[in-house]
Amino acid sequence: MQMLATVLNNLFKRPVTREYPYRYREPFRSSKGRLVLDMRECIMCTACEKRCPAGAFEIKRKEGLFKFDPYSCVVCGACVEACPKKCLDVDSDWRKPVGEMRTEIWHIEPPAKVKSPAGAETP
Amino acid sequence: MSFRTIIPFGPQHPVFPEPIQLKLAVEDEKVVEAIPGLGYVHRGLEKGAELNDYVKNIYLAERVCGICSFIHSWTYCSCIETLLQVEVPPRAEFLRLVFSELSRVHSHLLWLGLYADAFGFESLFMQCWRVRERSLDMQEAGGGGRVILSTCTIGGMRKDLDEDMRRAFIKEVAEIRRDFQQIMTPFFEDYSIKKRTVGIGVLTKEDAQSLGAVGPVLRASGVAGDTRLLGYGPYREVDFEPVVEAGGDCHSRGKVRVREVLRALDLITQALERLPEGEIKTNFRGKLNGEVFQRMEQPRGEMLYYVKAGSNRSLDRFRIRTPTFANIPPLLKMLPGCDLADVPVIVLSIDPCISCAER
Ligand code: SF4
Ligand code: SF4
Repeated sequence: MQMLATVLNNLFKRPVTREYPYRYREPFRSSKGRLVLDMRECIMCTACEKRCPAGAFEIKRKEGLFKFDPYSCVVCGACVEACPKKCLDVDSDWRKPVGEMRTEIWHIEPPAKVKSPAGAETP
Repeated sequence: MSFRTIIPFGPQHPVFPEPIQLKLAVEDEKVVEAIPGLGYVHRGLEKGAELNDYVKNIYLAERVCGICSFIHSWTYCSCIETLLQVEVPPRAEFLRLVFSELSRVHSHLLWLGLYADAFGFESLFMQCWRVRERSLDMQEAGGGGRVILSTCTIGGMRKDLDEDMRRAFIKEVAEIRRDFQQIMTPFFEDYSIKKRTVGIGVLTKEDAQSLGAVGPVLRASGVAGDTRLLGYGPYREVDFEPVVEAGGDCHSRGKVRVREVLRALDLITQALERLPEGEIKTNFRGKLNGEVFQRMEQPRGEMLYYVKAGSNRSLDRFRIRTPTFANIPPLLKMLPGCDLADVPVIVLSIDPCISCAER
């Protein structure tokens, strides 16, 4: 008797569950789905590597090697805040299932150490 | 004459979401003694935290528990804030209250579902979890994750609620309340639920106090003990009264949690309506120094953090005492004298979270 309202509701309403692979719920705007990297601006400062609690980055400045393991990443967003060049961003959509786990590797031209300011004279 | 037999209950048992073993000494169908066996899911998080940078530990502390994770990160951050003497902006404090009460709502709804399942009321279990899903959606919309939010940080919060979201939250809380009120009556009045829970697993007020019960277990035995009464964070600025029931049995523990869901929803609405304007984060710097104890109320009861600063951004000692650990001695007091068939309901009534207890 105490559940009568719920029972009637359940009889006449649509199911609350979704038929998942066919119907997909759009992620919330601020969901933390996965980390996306845009390596064009990266200056190899290693700020992201230092901040990451999961150890998902491996950066070798001298060799210009930048490795990111998306499957260690816990999408906390600490690296996004740390990056001075805004190369990293959190996307709200989830990562799709994969058949093979791969580390993402970039080869980046290591930045020149110290640029002499324009107009400065070199002795 | 009756023989004494030892029955191993767990570590794998349908009522346990997590592994704990209870060796039950039974005479006929009556339990006479229970011996707990812990240690199946020890993860060494405390030691891990001592080896880590203290800022990275926020994410580690959050993973101590998969249900009340936000409150863990809040407690940890508040320990570090005390050590660094950082002021947290009021808006951040109120946002922390909103998310911590949301985790209380979803934790209690989860438990109420499991509890209904333990005595065989499957449809109630599904209804509870249906309502819970709405609170998880709120967490995802506001914090970015269903359970692990990673929004709490040292000095404040990392995500703000905008005005639209704040209004949507207030509306959603009202709807959760309406949905929950529709399904909560059986927990108070249903004949078969009463039959399975009234007078089962009784813990008297004296026992609850002397054995150090915490949280809903303590409050169901008639003691108004709630860490939130200490007024940490914004709790001193909202109207709050702990929920107390006098029975001390499984039924009372269920009732306390049902009423606490409503109380938590009420606190969320209060906090959202009074949400102060301003910053959500203060920057911090300096070295960790000294040691600190911090107590906070989790869905399952009082939790205690001890943090001792070490040299060079690490911690010397990190210690957590979770509410389930404190509630095991009272559980061992409840079990003797009950029927073997009532053991699942009694064990579940303390809301055991074993992974937390063993960290
Ligand atoms: S989001 Fe967090 S876990 Fe993932 S790479 Fe960035 S810092 Fe590491
Ligand atoms: S923080 Fe940004 S700029 Fe620096 S190494 Fe990482 S991705 Fe590159």
